Amino acid sequence: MNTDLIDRYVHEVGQHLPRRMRADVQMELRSSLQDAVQDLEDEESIIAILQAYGPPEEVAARYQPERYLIGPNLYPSFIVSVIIALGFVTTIFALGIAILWSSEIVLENFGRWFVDIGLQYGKYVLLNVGLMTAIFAALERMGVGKSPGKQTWDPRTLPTVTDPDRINRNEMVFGLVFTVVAILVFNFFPQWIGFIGRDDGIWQLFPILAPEFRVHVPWLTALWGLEIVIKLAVLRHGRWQRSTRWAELGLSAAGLYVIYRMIAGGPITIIPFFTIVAKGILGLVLLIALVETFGMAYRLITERPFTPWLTMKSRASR
Amino acid sequence: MVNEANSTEISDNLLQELRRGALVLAVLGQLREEQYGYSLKQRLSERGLEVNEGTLYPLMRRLESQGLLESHWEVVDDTRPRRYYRISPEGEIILNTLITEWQNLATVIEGLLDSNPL
Repeated sequence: MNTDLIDRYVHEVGQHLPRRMRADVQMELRSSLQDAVQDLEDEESIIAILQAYGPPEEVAARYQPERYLIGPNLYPSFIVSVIIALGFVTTIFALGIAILWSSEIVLENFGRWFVDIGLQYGKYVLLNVGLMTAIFAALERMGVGKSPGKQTWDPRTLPTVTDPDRINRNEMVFGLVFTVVAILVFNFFPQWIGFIGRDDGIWQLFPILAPEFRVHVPWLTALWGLEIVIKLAVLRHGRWQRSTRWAELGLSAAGLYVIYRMIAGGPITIIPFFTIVAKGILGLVLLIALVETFGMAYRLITERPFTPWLTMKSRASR
Repeated sequence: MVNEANSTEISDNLLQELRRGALVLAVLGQLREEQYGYSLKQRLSERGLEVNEGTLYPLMRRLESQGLLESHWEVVDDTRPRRYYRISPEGEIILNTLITEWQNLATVIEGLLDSNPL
């Protein structure tokens, strides 16, 4: 009997098995193969039998349970943790960028500086994702992700699903009023934006907006004005439509530019520390808005509904 | 559109799924008598159930790790070790449950297929 092919096959299967079970499986596999080929001499027949067994890695996989780096039970928590970690890194970077901008450090080589910051950010993102993956993989190995087995489960505890195209009228009306107030305050009463403090024993309002901020007011007014028009159209139809979604996308893109101008521009407040904080928050808002705008553009361009089954349901009920 | 190659693949996968549960039943049933891997394969084949060894042997080990089978090694012809399997008392209990379920399921499915002739 030609055992060379069998030896090679058994060895190769073993290479794909964990050490603790390798020798035992190999011994049994060899024994079974020897039984199968005991009366065969020609190599072709042995090859046919081994081919029927299957490729070594596939055979080895059948001896083991399905393995996950991070299993389905832990996966949702993993995603949430990664998002939180990335949010934290992004906030730190946004604050850092704002501080650099506000401290009026002369940026001799802006392009180079921008690339450096980008690389640093990428490094920390990878580090955080890697760390989270390692932690969750360790939890999975410790058996934390294993299903707890049969237990009483109540479908009523499932979170509710909201239709993203349906509007909350009260919320939208409140938003409109708030936008109108913002337009009025920023254009006609900018001195109202400040903080209340005591001066000479009298409570007073101290304006905080820097004179340089005035340059952004026309832009903000235009944005808020368009927002009012879009929201009125949405309110009239009772729900978001593709046309209003496209208009909202355009507005978001314009909003990104205005936020960028505010971060890159002069001081926002007369107090440097508040400007740093404000620019840091705006940096964070810019990043979140950027992701949201791209998501919205992708859905609109690919004509993907915002929540597929709800869209189908609302179409069916029309 | 499902082309011929896809259709064959889908059909193969579905057949594999269909046979998977039945295979456990067949293996447990046949191992009421002690068998080694190859002899069990031959036995199933003689009774019309062709099983790939690459599927059968891992299944036997899994059933053993679940406590449904027992095994021991024996040396044959003074040189060759062989692993013999037999159903365990726990396996016997589960086999009886599976047989009852199988028979009920077969009756139900037959009824369903009869009421929806192709």
